[in-house]
Amino acid sequence: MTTSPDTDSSVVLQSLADKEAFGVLIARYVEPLARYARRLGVSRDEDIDDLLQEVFLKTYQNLNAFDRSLSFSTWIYRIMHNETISFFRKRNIRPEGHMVEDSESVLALVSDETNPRQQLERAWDHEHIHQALGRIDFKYKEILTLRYLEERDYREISDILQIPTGSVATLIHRAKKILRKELTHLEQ
Amino acid sequence: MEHSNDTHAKTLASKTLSRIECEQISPRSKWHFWLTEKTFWLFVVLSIVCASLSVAGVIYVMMNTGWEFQVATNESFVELLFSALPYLWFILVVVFAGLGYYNFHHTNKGYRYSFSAVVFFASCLSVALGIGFYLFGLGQIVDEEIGGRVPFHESALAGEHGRWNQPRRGLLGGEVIHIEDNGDFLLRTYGGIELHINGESLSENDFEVLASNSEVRVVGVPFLTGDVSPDGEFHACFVFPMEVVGRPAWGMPQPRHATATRPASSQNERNISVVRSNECMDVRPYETLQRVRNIKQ
Repeated sequence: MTTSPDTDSSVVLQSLADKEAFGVLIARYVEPLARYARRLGVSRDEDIDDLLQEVFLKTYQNLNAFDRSLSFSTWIYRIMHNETISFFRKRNIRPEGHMVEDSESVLALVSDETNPRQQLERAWDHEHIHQALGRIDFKYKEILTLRYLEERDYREISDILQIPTGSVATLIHRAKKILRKELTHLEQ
Repeated sequence: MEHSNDTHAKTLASKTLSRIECEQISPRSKWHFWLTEKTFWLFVVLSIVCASLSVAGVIYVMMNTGWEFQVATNESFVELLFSALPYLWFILVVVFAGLGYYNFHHTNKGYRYSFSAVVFFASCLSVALGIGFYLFGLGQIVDEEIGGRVPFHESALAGEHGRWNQPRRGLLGGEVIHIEDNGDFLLRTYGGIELHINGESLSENDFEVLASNSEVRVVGVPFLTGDVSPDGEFHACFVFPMEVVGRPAWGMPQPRHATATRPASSQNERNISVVRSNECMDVRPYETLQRVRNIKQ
């Protein structure tokens, strides 16, 4: 891995010596993590800010645990995943809705490779997908978000969620099936 | 929008760094994480070792249950199986395997391996180590020294001694104290009493067993009323060794040396395949027990 001044790994090393350098990492990851939080169903800006603060504080405390065989992005997303679950648990609330952008990748959420004909016949719009995502279990919503909206590969998702790669594939398959079922219910 | 995002990022960065300053938050040391990782690995190893010791206990119990004598001790093989199965050790194998998986999953890279792969590998390792532990004699220590102290658990030897302490059913087991010239012998039973055993119906093979084993199993007939007491008698029909396999090498009892022989006057009359006396005629299953005796010689 290169250690030019701009890489995340080098900034981590600098942050251990000088906490002001950690501000660079915060600035880099605020927006991606905020967007991720909205996609997971954290809707209020104040809640997102609180959550992100906790994530960055945890990240700073655990800088010496950063495994350089992972990318820093994967590692901080892992912390984000854990803190989001704690956030919902502590507040005893369900994830609210889901921020779904108008993009091709969203349609991939509902694609069924085993049934291309059904893909042609169905024309689910983003609003339907938005509603359906808001109704499925958090673990399915999260894995679909990571795969199709955050565009993570299976190994990265495995490292973020700390589950085997095989389980990632199974979970994605199951999540898409459940999402399509939910969309069908909404149509009816 | 971008400017707003930049402002938001800077604000959050500033707030976070202020909190770090005010609350004096600092990165945990590398040693903390190193120790945590090593602790999980230590528990993985301990879990595998404990599971392996439990496997050794299972092997010891299965090897020291008198399966070949089931025809005499139990109504059926299934009955003996259910009474002898080492449930405690099976349960502990599962418990320690579970603990091993839990701790492995929490190591830095452990989450990358599927549950089935981890359990399969851990099971193979536990069985392999368990066989090694058993061969080294740890199975007996586990089952008798540790298992002996667990409520509701009966060690393999205790179970076997119990099965061979049923004089009314014609089953006796114990330590051979003395063999007389006429073939009778004194047995200290597993019930704690010393009995005079009539050896009139025993064969050469039976006497070889008596001579070379300190503990024996005896199938026979209690005299007269069927009651056995220190003043009563027991008529032996078959004698089998009570061998303990899987003992630690350092604890092996010295083998007995043959000191007793069948009385000379009756040696020529012995015929293994013939029922020697009326007392033994009703011992069931006579032919099966004969076969077992012949195999064991």
